[in-house]
Amino acid sequence: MMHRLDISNLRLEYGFRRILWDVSLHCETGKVVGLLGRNGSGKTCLMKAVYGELKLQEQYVGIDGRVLLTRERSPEDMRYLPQHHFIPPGLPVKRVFNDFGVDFDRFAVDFPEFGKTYQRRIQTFSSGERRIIEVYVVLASVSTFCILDEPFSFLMPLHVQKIKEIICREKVTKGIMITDHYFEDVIDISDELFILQGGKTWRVQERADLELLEYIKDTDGIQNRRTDAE
Amino acid sequence: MRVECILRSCISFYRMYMAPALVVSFACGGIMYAYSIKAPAVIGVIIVATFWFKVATMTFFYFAMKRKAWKFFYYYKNVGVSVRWLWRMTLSFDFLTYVAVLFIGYYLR
Repeated sequence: MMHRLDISNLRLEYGFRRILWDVSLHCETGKVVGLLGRNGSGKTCLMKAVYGELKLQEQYVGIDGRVLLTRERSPEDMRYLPQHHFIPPGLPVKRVFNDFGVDFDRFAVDFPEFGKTYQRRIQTFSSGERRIIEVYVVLASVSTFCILDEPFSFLMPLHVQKIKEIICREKVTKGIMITDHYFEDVIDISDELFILQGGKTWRVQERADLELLEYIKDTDGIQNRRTDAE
Repeated sequence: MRVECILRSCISFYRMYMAPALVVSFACGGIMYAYSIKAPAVIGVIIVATFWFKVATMTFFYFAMKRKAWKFFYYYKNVGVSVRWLWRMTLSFDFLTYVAVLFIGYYLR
């Protein structure tokens, strides 16, 4: 079943500084919406506002025309992966997968190195391993929309690739909003790409737009210089 | 499954500040135990003093947790358990523990 997440009129100001100004976005089942932006441009604020964590001066966030007003959203409507670790370190993996209603066996198929970690506590994992578990439970649990804030942090390239595959697999049943500074990976999996600059979202059609909006700078030149150095 | 998840969330949430909260409750109980043979006026003073001490420490734990453990609140939100509800349940339980320990301290003598 198709669902549509509408975000419009998001406005956030800190003193005289405009963080978000008339931001409008939409996401629907089967789509990955990528959001890029410089540090401090308001990506996390936007994500938190959509999840209901941040109360803005003006905002509209709704699923299928139904306004989401409450701070505590139903997890079946939306799940949020914050950019920091969020699973309490004392919990065992088994408990985390049970709480999210996610099948551990399938996880062990995707990440065979985690096969024997069912009874282990979260605190015994490295940052990267914790991140894999966090990203996976948020992505694989039942929900209409997923908001992922920097899912590729701490992950090695092989795992980034695997997470990208899982995102593409899970988007069949849900809409996904993603932001990360690994922009190549975000571009790879995004059906629609936006850049947040000056408090507004700008649609990115091609790579040159990122240079135009000063998110990246003369990347080909950097590549050439690297080749020359080698 | 859902009730089980909520109960487990309550327990794991309370465990984040359980140790210092119980120390405070047992300290209040200890004071009551030590002075319970005194005059009723003294008992009254102990009850009022420990009550405000307990309330102050509960307020402290609330703000300290909000400052130190806010990252983990996202876990409970993501599994569909309201953090406000968790606070209400665990603080109520903590206060009841204090009351129970106070009674035990009084009647034990």
